[in-house]
Amino acid sequence: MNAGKRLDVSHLPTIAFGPRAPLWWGQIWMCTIESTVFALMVAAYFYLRLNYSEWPPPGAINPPPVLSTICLVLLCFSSVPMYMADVAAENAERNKVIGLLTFGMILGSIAFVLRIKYLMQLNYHWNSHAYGSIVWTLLVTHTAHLITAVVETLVTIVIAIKGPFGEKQRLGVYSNGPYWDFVVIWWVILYVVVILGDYYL
Amino acid sequence: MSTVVDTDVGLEGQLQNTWQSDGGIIGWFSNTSHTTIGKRYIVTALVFFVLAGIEAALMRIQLSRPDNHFLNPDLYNQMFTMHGTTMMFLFAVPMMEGMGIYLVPLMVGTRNVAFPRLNAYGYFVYLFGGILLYIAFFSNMGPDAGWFSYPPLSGPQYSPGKRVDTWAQMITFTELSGLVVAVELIVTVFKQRAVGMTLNRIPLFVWAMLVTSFMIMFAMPGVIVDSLFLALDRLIATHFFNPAEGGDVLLYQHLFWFFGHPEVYIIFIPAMGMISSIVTAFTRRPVFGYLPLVLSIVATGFIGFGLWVHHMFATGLPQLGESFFTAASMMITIPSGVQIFCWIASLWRSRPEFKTPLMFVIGFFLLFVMGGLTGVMVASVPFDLQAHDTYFVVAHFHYVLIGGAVFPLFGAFYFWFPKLTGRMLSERMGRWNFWLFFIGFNLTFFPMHILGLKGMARRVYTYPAEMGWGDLNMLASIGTVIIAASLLIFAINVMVSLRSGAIAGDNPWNADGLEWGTSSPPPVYNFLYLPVVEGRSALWDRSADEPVVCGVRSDRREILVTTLMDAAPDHRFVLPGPSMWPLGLALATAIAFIYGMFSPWAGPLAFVAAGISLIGWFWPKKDEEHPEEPA
Repeated sequence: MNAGKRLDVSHLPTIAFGPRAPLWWGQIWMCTIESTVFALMVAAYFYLRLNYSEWPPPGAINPPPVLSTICLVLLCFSSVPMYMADVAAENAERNKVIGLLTFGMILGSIAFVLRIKYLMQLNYHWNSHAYGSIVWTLLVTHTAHLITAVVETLVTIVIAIKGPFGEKQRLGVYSNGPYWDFVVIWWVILYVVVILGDYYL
Repeated sequence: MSTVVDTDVGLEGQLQNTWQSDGGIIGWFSNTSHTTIGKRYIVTALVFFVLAGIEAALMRIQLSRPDNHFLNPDLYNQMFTMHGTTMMFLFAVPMMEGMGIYLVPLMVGTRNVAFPRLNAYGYFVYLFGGILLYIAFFSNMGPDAGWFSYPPLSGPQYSPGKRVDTWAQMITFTELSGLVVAVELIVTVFKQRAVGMTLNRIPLFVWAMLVTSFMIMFAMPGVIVDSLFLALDRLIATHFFNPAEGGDVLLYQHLFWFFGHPEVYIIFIPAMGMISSIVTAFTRRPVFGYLPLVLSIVATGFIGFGLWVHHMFATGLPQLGESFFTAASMMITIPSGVQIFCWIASLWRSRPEFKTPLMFVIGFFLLFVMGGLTGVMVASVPFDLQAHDTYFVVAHFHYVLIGGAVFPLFGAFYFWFPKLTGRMLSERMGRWNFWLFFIGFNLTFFPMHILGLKGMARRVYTYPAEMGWGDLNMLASIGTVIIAASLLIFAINVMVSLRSGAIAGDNPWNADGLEWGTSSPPPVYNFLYLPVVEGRSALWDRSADEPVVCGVRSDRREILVTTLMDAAPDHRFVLPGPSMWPLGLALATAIAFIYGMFSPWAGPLAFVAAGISLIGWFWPKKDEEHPEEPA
């Protein structure tokens, strides 16, 4: 095929960020899938609640939401350095990326430790009753996502330190951002539904 | 500048060199080409189709006469569970996905899917899930609680042992694979369409795969959550479905059908796309009503999520809710009707060429309309309460699924076989294949309507002679023999044609899709030059000077990324090449899932193993660092 008209694209860049990049979309859809999982679990939570006249069931005592609130504040705040790291990755500022990611990761790690402490305070387990089953499943699922986000960030940091800090690595940092925000957003929702809802209602 | 090659021959060589996979066993396992992986999906799904077909045949032997003892009740339970599970999870969905993986990148004019390694991972996970199910089946651990495994029957109390666990884990494997395919197809369609392929020029099959992928994304989490809850109930004594501790068995049904009903459309919508391609090619003119067809596909995607409760009418839900779901179930006939009328309008006065693919489409019209009509019947609550769990429902969903999806799929086999293999299937054997399938199908499944109305329940392993169901059952069993003969002819056709079929050439049907604009089978890089699209029928609307894209580097796996709406050139992007890590991660996943049937510690173990594999996957490698482009 020796074509007449040719559209030359050799001048186009080889990297793009945000909705222009396939990787960003991949990350968004993965988060959409995981969000559907969480949404259905929350639906199950309310469905099981219909079976109870008292919710949480008598005997199940939720500790005061202090630890979870600190967790909430830390996670919400951690989105700021994570967002700034994305911007820095777009501008190829390697040291800034490393610093910001490390800061965000430390906040996330503290939130993880607080979460484990909170779980250990619960006086019921997943096999105590359906209430225990759904609360533990929701919290453990979220905690697993939180530690995944932390480890993913750690790996991104190590790769950035080790170098080279090329286009692939910069895109990697950038696609870490939406996942982190997804973990944070679901904690806001679960905090309202499971932590606040069950303590005050 | 090394990247610009003056002659087409030189370019061909360089592209071949860049895009080809490594040889040998390692090359086989590390392959990330979408055509290779698409073909693997198709072949694997066909193997499972044969296995599920054998199970169906064994059930038909058992039911052919009253008081038969060919299969014992326990084996019969496993048979219908394995048949349904295999057909739905290991044949229908992966088959449609395989067709999508193979065809979508060719149809949108790109060189590979957006995430090639993820694609390889998805295939291995699917394969391991299928193997697990069959190893379990042959070691007397086959699931036996039906393809939807309702608790309490499937719960720890009534299904001790590992049978249901096998089922629950296999589900997770195949759903995982389905989800990664959905994501990569959506992103491929969003970002890798040929320049000029605006939204209103996307081929209908690609629209169909896009809508299917979105449905997978929102439906499959339902069964993932459901099978997770079931596995937890069985393994660590949670109480999701245990009424004694505040759990609820109906929660299982809601979650299952929130997935299960869209699943029907996940199987059926790709078939809509296949029909549109076939009708266009054999009427030699653009399909009638492109816009209403696209809107119908999208509408079906949405309404498909509002029907799930019609599977649960017999559970005594509030009447208002039932009325809502009846209305929604009837509403879905509107987009289906629009589509059928559009295709009929396309065929009207068009002098269609009645080749085998089109014959299967015509067969689809008849069978699917029948299935649709019985669908409207069972959508009505009073009727459903009578027909629920009888052979009437079995007849209905086989008309919808075989008529609605398998017939178009066979049409698609005959239509795209030349593209996949470079050779034509025999038309004469194709005719035999079609007519025997059509006759055999009706003989098998039409009598089941009557058996259902006479009161024969699903899933009974035998029935006494006094019921008077013997003759119709015998008829159905004879039909099965005819279907088997037709499938045997298909298998022979494939074998013979692979070796000595007529050489197809690039475009044997003079069809309009971009996939016909490259050689058959396509080279590993798909297109020598990335195409530019100038109309809805890419090849028919192409202007005389055939504009193409140049300036995409051929010395590395570079593709052109275009904008979401207008498909204007945006940037160039390098896709990853062959890798063993997808296999590694799939093995880690498989071991963790299988261990998960026995111990809750599989969770943390899976986490660590997957983490290690993923880090290996993403760790930058020396040879992947390409020098920046010379100025």
